[in-house]
Amino acid sequence: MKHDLPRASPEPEPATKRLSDNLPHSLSGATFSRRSVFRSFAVTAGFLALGGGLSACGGSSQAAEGSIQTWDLFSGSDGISMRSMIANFSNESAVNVRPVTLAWGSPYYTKLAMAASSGKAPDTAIMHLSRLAGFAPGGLLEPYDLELLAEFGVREEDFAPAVWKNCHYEGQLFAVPLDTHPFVVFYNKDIAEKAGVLDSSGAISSITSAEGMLEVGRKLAKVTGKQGISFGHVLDSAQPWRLFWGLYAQTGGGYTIEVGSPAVLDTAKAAEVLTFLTQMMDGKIALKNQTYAGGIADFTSGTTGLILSGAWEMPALKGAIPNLGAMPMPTMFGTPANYADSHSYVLPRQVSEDPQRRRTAHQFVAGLIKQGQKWAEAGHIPAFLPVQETPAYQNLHPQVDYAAAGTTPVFDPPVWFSGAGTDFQNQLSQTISACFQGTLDPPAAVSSMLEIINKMLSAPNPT
Amino acid sequence: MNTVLTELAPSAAPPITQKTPAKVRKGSGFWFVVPFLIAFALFLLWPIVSGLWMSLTNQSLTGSGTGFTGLSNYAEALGDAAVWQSLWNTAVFTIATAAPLVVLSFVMAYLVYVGLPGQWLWRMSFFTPYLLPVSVVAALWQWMFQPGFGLINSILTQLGFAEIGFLDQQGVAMFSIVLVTIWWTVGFNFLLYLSALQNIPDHVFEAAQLDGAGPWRRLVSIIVPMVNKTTVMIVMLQILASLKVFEQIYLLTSGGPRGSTRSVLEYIYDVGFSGYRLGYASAISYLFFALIVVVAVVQLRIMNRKEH
Repeated sequence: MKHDLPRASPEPEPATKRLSDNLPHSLSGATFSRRSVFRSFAVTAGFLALGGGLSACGGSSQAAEGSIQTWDLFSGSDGISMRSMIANFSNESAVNVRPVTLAWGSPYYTKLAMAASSGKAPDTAIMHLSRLAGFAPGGLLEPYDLELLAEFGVREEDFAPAVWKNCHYEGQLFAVPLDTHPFVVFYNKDIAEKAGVLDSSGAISSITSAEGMLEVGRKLAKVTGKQGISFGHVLDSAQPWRLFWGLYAQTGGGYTIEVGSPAVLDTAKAAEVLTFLTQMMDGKIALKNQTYAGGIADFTSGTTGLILSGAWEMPALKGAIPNLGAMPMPTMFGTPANYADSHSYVLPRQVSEDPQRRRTAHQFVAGLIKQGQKWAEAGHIPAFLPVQETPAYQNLHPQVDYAAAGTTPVFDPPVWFSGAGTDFQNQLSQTISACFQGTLDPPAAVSSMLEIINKMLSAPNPT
Repeated sequence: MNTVLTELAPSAAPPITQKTPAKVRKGSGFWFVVPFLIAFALFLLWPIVSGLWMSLTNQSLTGSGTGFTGLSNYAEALGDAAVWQSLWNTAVFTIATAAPLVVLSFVMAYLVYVGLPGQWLWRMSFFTPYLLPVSVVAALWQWMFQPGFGLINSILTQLGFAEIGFLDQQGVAMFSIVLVTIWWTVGFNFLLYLSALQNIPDHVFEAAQLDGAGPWRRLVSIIVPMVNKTTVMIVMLQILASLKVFEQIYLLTSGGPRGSTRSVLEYIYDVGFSGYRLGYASAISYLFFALIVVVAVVQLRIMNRKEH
């Protein structure tokens, strides 16, 4: 066929011909190349994790004492704090720690569940307290030995009761909290001052009702010339839920979300909270279609004066706005309550029990918990109360200004499908977000939420 | 093309002496295929079989529930509104992407072929997006679609139009994803078409020109039929690729708003990996697999009919 072609094509003929001859292969090859990049990352990560696990095991049989592996999901600035805390611990205790950091959210828990069920689990791992209900009942975790913890200086009285209570399943301690990271309010003190909403101590203290929040928002908007409040929720898989669930708890509405019975919410109070939030997102006080990144961008650029967001954003916000104020979520519906989660340490199930490694794991957890001051730099509230009482922490602003949020934490309902990075949070967030954007009215949104929860309640529990 | 082959065949007929080496090679052929067979069995055959078995159990990611449950997963899937919605979303995406990706790529290739000045520039700009990893594509478009200060919305509002919720408005989000997908992947079809066009022998055009065929006649009577084989292949591969959509949706909207862009593969991922229900997720995959087989068979039938 080559000689049939007199035409001087820009592509040399053999190349074109080869391309068209091999089309199906080359196409599938090309399609794969995109995926395979994706996959090869996963495979590499898997091999690294596996290699880490294997060599950690090897370490245990040879060097015996003082070598453990730990997993976490901190890839932001808190990851840097975590690594330096681990290094501190290693230096002081001579324990060789192999940390592995994996991507946040659902992929992390998928890997942790698989590792625990296949017996390739790390000795300790970070887990959101909200995920405990999905892991502890399935036997994927092992309970802590309280005596061993006490030996390393960690006791029940060192933690806020509301948090400590949530670390248990069937009377046994399955998690030791490293922090509480609440959903709080940050504000730009310069803008707040111009708006006249600061009290004599330089804080916003006037918000005691939903109307009070709207009022502050209007005043801030007047100063910025745009909006007063940032709240990013569009397509976010958790923010709408965090805001709603914390405020719903403030109404004292209560709930029943248990496998075996239909879900119950106080629909009137839930709708009241949603109605307030849609009033807030009227385009003037806050935008109704802001994304997470957009909310941060607007706040850090001074387009808004206040942001509803997680404590974990503190380092980024502080970096952009040195005069940053913060407070727990103001009590707007009567009862003080603050949506929160907690990074806690768990002990994934091991196939072969090694008392020495277990002991080292306890030592590691205790050693990390006590370095709460370093951890607080990342914005989280250290769960270990002795840290909170130190002058160093008391002078750490704005962290200490929202530390009170850790005493009234509101966690996800303790069912197997709830918690950080779950489809539960994602689906409810989508419904709430639709309500904020006006495609669902508040009562319809509440009944849609109940429908979603009921569907999940009726699904067989895989754990 | 057939004539060329038949002409070549007699001259290429092997002399008798070559028969002996062919005989020797007979047994050795198997060993050359063995590496492939092992990979095929390990990474395709075995997963298919074990996935089918898994779909008949309530297997969980956490290792529990390996008991046989019969067809109950399939029954649950057929009654699950989310399965039907995600299948519908997948169908909408497939139809909305496949047609433009075929037609547009042909138009682009044709324009380049007939000699837009600076061919290399067009070729490069049409094909470059295809080389980007999906995460880059998603991040790029996420910022362009951003409400408020995103590139597209700020231009719209400056011109006095209302903002569009590209990714957060039900009914719009899917078409934003379609738009992104077309921008991202049209380059490959374009390249296939371009090479097919460049493969059309010049003497055909010369003959047509002698017979007085204008540009339109040449397009309809020569070019389109001559690239027909490529079209059939592109359509087939495009439909299969579109049915498999996952990454860009997962990254841009994670299935939202309110599940209106969740593709069936994402639902399978959600159920199996976030929800740990591997057995149920396998059952949905097999239902989807059956649908793909049906689509492929129908396509094959249509293709064959065309060729005869």
